[in-house]
Amino acid sequence: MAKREPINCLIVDDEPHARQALQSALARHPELAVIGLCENGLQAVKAIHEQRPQLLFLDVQMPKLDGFDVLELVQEQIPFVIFVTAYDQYAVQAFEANAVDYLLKPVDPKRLAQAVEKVVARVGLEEPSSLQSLLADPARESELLRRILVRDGSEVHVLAVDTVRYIEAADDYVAIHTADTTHIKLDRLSRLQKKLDPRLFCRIHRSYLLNINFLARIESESKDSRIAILTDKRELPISRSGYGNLQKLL
Amino acid sequence: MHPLFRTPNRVIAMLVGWTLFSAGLSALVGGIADVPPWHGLALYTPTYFLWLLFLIPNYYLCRALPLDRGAWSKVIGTQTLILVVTGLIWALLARGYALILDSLAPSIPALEHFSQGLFTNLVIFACGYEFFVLLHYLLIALERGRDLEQAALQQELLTSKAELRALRATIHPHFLFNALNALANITDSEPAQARHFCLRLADFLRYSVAYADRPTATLGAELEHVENYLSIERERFGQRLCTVIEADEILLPTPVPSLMLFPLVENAIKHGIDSCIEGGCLELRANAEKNRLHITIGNPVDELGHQRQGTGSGLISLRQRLKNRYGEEASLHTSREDNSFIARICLPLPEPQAAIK
Repeated sequence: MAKREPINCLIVDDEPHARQALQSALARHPELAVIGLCENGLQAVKAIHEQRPQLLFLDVQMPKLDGFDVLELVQEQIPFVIFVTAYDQYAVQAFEANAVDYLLKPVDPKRLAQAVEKVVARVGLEEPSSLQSLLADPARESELLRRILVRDGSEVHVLAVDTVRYIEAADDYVAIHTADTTHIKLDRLSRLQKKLDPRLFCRIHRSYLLNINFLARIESESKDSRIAILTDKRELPISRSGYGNLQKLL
Repeated sequence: MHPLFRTPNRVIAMLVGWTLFSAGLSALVGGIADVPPWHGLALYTPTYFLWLLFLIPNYYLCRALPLDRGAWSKVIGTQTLILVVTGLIWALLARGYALILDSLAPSIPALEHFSQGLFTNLVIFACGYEFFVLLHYLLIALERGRDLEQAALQQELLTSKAELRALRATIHPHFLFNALNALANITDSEPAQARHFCLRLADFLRYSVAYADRPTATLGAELEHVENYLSIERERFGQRLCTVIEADEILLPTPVPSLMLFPLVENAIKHGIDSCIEGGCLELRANAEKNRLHITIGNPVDELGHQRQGTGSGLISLRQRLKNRYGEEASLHTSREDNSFIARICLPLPEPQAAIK
């Protein structure tokens, strides 16, 4: 059999002993090469962006950004994923995210060997986890967002939703405007709107979602054409149905 | 609320009983004062109803004048004064009624009968008054006993709830899974550390189980308990968790409610330090000031981090326990400033030892 290049993988876990234990267990599998250890989601996003690993050993529960947040942030370059967690409550969610496998801690060497086998069989034959299935996860859709995760290159920003002034649609992307910055995120405005508090965010136009706390006043130019003036003097168009939405909310 | 008015049945029973009593008494007083029975019934019975107006409210006077030690002279003086005043008022009202009866039914010499029975009636009124005073004090004593019993039961319930919570937190699958993981991870690489870890875990579980039926511990034992908990978590958090625990040595034997610190420290870890990507420092300080024990627990918190949902029931039940045990003397305050969370407990110190030692 022709010898293949080892598969590059990253270990992402916030517990130091867990990283070390997994790393030493993987030493017995020459078909994998551990190219990095990440202590948290931020490091993971950076490492995935910069090192492009083919495989992630991903812990679910981590501070600030959990395993699913990491996947959400790297959706354009998502590698194969093996979840490694102490709890089995995330199993369903993990498979919906198209994980290759799901390992429970403490990791049993036999189970690890099976998981590695699965990955080796799949690498090169198919594309990694599909984006759509991850984003359609119902468990995560049901909660209202407290924060929006955005990535700029390898840098992650966590925006509190109440600091977001308005969100603008631009094809497959949304532009999230805060006091002085604009962040671009791969997402659809209608999908994002569903996850935001409907008492706070109003769809004033097909392309604009406004945080009503930043609405200063409404000016009408003609009967069917109105403009929202924000507290920072920015102006946004209001469509006819958008005006209806605003009236309902106010 | 007067005990006689608490249920409609009691009110009816009292009114019926009092009517029969009034009628019987009218006949008796009529006999003593040489008044024809029908005249007695017409004149005296309605005036006996007035007694209720004076005797029932006496309950509130009795409550306002508790039979504490040294208060006897005050109680007797006040009750006698009220007896004389109400007796006089009653006599005036009864005389007024006799006057009205005199003009309405001239056949009955009401005013004359009134004077004939006045002395007897006043004596009976005084006896009835004293009887009600005794009855009221007896009722109040019974009620107080019941209240105390209820408070004791509630205290007991809260204590067992706290113990159950501590037990559940330790036997909580996540906690045990995490501990087992940590142990599995270090057994190969650091056997000595693994052994130490097992001992701490055993101590921690032992304390939680042992205090299932002991309401009081010492501050020293409580601190050791949370130290054990923290040393287990430290294995998991690594560099992310730093702890500072400071307590004056003379305070260690101070008796405190058992399992008081654990819920606060657990909150600080679960909802505080674990929400911060860099982790942070948990600071626990105990010091005495003006005969009071102050304990503060502070930790960083990341507003936008993943925060595990808590019900806040730990804080509520701890606050209730402190209240039941110390009344207004103890307090538990929490505050959140910028990126830190602080819980403050204040307890009265047992008087002499702490001050003199």
